[in-house]
Amino acid sequence: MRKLIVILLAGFAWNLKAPAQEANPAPGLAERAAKAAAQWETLATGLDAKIQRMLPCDPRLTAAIEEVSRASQARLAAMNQYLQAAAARARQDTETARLALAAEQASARDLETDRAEAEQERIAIEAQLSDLSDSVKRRPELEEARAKLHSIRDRVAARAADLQSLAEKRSLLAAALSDLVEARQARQRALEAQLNALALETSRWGDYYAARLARARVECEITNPAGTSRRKR
Amino acid sequence: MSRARNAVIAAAVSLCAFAAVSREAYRDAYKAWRQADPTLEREVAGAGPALAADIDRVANQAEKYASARSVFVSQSEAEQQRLLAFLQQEPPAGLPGGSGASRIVGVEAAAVRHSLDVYGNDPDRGIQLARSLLNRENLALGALAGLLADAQKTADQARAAGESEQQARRRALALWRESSAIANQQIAEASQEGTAWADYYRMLSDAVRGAAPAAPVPTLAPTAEPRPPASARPPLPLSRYVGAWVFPAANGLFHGPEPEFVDLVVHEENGHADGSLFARFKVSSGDPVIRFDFAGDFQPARNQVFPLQTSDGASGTIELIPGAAFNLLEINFQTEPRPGKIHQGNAVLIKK
Repeated sequence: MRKLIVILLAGFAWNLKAPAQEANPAPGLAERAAKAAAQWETLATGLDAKIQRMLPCDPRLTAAIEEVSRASQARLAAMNQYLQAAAARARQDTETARLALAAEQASARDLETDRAEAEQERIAIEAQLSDLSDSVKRRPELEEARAKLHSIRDRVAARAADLQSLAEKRSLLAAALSDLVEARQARQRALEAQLNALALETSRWGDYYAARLARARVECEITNPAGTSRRKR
Repeated sequence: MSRARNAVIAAAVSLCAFAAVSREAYRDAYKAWRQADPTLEREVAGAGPALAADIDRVANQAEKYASARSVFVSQSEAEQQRLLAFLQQEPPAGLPGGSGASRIVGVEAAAVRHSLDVYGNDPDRGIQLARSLLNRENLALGALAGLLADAQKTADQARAAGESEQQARRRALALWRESSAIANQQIAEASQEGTAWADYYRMLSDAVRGAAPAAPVPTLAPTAEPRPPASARPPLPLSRYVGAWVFPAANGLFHGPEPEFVDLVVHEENGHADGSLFARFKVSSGDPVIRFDFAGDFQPARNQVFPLQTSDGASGTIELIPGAAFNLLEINFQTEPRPGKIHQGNAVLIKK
């Protein structure tokens, strides 16, 4: 049977661990975003040095700006994907904590009922004990049973006390879960604000690279209206 | 969370698959027990062996209540574990902070401003056009600088919110572990209470059986359950062993060959057990059927082991192990190995 229990435990442990496997619903997105950001930074930082010695109408010049612009778009898209997933995960996390809080609050009420029931059970045993103590006077061989009932009474009284202490712990746990719900809501709001900010940032980078590219073309036209390449400045 | 605690709860939950218990069910069991014979402790003073049947009946009700409460408490804790398992999850890795975007914007803005200075107020039309585009770049970079500063603040807020969340999570996790320790103690005590009540009723019964009746009893009421001599009596009521038991049609628990069906019948008379088992197993080859009889005296132990003999003459043993709930019985049998024959089996049966 020990083997059977092991099999059952393995199955159950797998079930218990199942939610943990959903810890990160978008694995790799953070890494992808970080990689895209690093690629863009490398290209953007080196852009001026790269085009400094190119003639204004050198096709490699606009190609270099376009390459950085594409890398910028890729970085912002990867960042957007990451933040979308993180915000979705934050919403889900908030909901999970909210459900746990609701269950915990219901459980706290049940515990109070359990404690009251244990108390009633103890009172019922007191009545049994009283009857049995009278019976022991007439039939001494019942003494062993009386002693046993006495110990059961103590056990049930201890259960009521434990339930009281459990109810107190659970009340603190409910308060901590309530804090967790609030903290998760705050994180969710912060991530959504990041997403909004990223949308604006994406638009502004687009404006910047469009202007940068337009200037490169105009500089080519100014310096080479007839199609002859000349060095800028 | 200790593996041992998970193990206890997992076992309880697995067994609960057979006998899930609601809060109402165990409360009903409690009422039924309490109403079974409210004056028993008064009656025992003057009663004779005839009261033993009543005591057995009350003991059975007590056992049903204890089992139901035990299962319910385990279920509740398992449910809480399921709901709060997320507290153990560490947060996923976030984005590394300190993007170089602000630095790049600063460098580009400086370069644009330098170009604007170089172009100056040259009246050349082409230069003016380039200058206006430089101004567009400058405006976009200025807007970006402001946005990135705000974005940094938002990212800092998100990071701070994440840290607050982790603090709240860790606090909740610590409290959950503390409350879980108490709950597990309750699970263990629930089971011990059941045993204590069984002992108590056995003691009452022993006292009643050991004495002459206080008054003549005209007729003995049929006993709810025959009882062996006190010295050989198991610590649990005989109803945990005797009766007809079957392997459930769905979700049955077993180890080794999977039963297709198992029929077990156990009888008791004056502390002596006899029974028979007929089963068919899902095997790819050989004889899937086994049939045997067993007999022996009940022992003062929870698990009962009896010698058996199969229909084709092989000998062996069968162990009867009362389950977590009153209507569950685990069996474990072994016989001498014979080619093409089932020679061992282990399964949890449910009372018919």
